[in-house]
Amino acid sequence: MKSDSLEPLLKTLKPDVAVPAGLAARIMQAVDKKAAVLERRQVFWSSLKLAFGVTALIYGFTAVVLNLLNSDLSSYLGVVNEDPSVLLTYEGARALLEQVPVLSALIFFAGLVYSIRHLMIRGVRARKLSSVMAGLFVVVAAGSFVGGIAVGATQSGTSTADASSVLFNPVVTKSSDYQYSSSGEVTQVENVDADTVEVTILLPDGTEKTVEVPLSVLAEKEVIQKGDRLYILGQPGGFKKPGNMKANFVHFGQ
Amino acid sequence: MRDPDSILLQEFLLSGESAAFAAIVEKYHRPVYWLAYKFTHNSEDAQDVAQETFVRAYESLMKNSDREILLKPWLMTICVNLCRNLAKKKKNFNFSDLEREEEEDSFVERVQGKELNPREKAAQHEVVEEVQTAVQKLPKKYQVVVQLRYIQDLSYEEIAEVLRIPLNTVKVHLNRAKKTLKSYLAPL
Repeated sequence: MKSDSLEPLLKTLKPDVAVPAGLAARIMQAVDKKAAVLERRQVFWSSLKLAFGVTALIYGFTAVVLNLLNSDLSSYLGVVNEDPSVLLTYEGARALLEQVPVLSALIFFAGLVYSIRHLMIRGVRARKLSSVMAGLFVVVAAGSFVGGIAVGATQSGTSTADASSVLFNPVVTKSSDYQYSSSGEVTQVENVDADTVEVTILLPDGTEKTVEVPLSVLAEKEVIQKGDRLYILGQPGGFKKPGNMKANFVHFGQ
Repeated sequence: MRDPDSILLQEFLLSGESAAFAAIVEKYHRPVYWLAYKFTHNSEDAQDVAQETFVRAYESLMKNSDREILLKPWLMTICVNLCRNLAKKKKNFNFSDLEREEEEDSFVERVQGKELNPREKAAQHEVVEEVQTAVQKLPKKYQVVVQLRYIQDLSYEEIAEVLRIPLNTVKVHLNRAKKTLKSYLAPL
């Protein structure tokens, strides 16, 4: 045989075995099964990520608003009322509203469990369904958030703006930590040391009360002067700092 | 003009549906099966390997869809790796033989004196069929490279990649396979 005649002959080679009938179908069946498994796995992780993400978003949003309001405490109180008794009427609404982020998270997790269970059964349609469910959860969570504020507003008989500001009240983040003590006009201010001043206030019943106010609780450049109005909030006899509360004192200028 | 393989792949990656993967399976299940059969010499095992090859390919594409691949050599590589694993379990093919280059001359010398028997010659009238039969008489490691080169139409580099052997070894195997075939087919 000539050396150059082999190459063309080799190119005519055919496979020495026939492919069994139905092999492609068998392969596709296995691929479909795998696809369903991968889909379920993917849906599980994306749902989990979505639920965590949105819950974190709600809390994050709450934190941002809290911080914003924190810097403007006195103006918030100005919106509500100078009379501390009005503050107390918000207690019920506040208790409800404080639970909103928790409720939102619970709704998310309940939805998540439902969707995973549902998608495990359906398999192939998982992706589309999960995005619909995710959208639904966002709406429900947002609805519960806004609805909570509206309910709070109705219960306390104020505007939704006031009710929402109560939700993010930086002074009293937990209702159990809040206890209105007393308020009155400042009659005397004395420096105790570099960090503390002693303030005497005239209570509505005509008696006087003297408390030590740490300067750290006051805003920058804020000073307490005679004639100012001072509310003492918090546990009697102490300067407790519940939650992210900066101080028990709410001080108004003249 | 775009490579038809990359179009197939692109269509699948864009849709992400297993139905789009069917076109890839349809096009390549035969060559994958043939290659698997070459290693396993058992239809059931070859079918299992072919099935697993595509399942793994699907999984890999779904996880990492942005890489560029040459579909055919890639599928062949998966197939060979699966055959390798199977061979470890069953010990029906020695993959280390693929890399061995020594004792080749003695093999060629051995077969050079050996002609196809008259009965086979009588049965195989067509030259092409003679070649086919001669190829099947080659040692498995040569059959594999001959199949990949002439039936699957892979380049030397692709064969080296698929079989994970040096390029030079591929060339040596092919050269010796041809030499042996010539000796088989000398009377033609």
